[in-house]
Amino acid sequence: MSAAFGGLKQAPDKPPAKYAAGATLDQGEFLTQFVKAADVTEKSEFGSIKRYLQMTFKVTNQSNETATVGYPPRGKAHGVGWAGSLLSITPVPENKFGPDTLVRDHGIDSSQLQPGVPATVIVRYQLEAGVTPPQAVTLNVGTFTFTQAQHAVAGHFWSLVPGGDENPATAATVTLDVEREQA
Amino acid sequence: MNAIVSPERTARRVEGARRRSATPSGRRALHGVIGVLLVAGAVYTQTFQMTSEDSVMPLTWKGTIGQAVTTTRFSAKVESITAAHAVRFDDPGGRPVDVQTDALFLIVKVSATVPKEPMQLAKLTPPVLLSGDGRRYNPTDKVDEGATLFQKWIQPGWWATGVLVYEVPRDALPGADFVFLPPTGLIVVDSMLPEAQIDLGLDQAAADRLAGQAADTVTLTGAGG
Repeated sequence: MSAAFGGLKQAPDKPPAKYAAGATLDQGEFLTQFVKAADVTEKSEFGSIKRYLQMTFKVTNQSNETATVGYPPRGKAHGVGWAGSLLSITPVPENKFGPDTLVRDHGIDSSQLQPGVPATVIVRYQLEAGVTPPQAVTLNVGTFTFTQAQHAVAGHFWSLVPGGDENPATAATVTLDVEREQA
Repeated sequence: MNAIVSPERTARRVEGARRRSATPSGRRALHGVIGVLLVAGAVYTQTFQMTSEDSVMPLTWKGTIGQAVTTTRFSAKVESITAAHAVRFDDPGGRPVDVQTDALFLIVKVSATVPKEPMQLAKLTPPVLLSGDGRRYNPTDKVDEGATLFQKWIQPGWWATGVLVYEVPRDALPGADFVFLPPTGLIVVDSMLPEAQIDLGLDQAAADRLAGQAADTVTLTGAGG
């Protein structure tokens, strides 16, 4: 029954912690280090150049199941998986498609976060020509709680800790300066 | 149940109720009987309900590595396991790809057959690696499915063989089981699917040896068969 109102755990009243690059947040289901944000230029194998505002994270799945890296919420649409905890990213670069979210280690892309295997996660917005990336980005980040599903078949599942207003609560506000680099 | 009313008595009461339909007391009596029946029925149907354990737990057949485990839907066998720091396979375009990990790749060579309906493994309910401490690993998506058992049809009459590749930390190996799950439909109505849980024979010492002797690169050739 309590699940209908967003679960038992309520967000603490204290304001979210403020973090900078290098900090680590225990998100329950995941342990996440906020590595950096960068303005990255990539040359494709066919010579075309793409520029991204790229955020890098080190994420370890602390749960008992393979998880999906997912994607952040967009407008009113909920996010999915680990990236669902990136409640807001500001300023949002103007981008038609929203960000790409992927696991990338040793040059190989994946969508999975395996339990106990630290993974490099990239969230990046492609910058359209002439768009200047911001000096810094600020992320509001939520945490996960293990909740009993209403239907027995679904068992338990991880869901975002809700705040007072039905929306997920912000556990940490992370500000990352945007570095310039060539990839 | 004691609340069963003989049809004869019910019929008589219904008739009686109809005859005296104008009298409120008769109607009340009839409503009372219906009420009792409904309550009794509702209480009885509670006994049909499965506990959450019943409805979640699939039917599990157990076995060990090298042994065929036969369930009602399929038979499965783990032929061998290998650990590696990298795997090499051909991408769909036929070009070789090397995939590396800082953890370990566990390559499970599996054979399977079915008595009747051919089947293909499903991404949504894939066979999993279950660590000794209860962590469930899905096959890694870093290895193209075309190089694995996912790509093969499991047919009646012969054993299809292929590999499934898991990316796991070293500490997932001791006590690990391989759990072969058949594909489920899009809508899961059949929650009593059989599964084969296969002990990989990895005690602490064997797990240490497997990880310590992990190959630099294992090449997957044509679905590993």
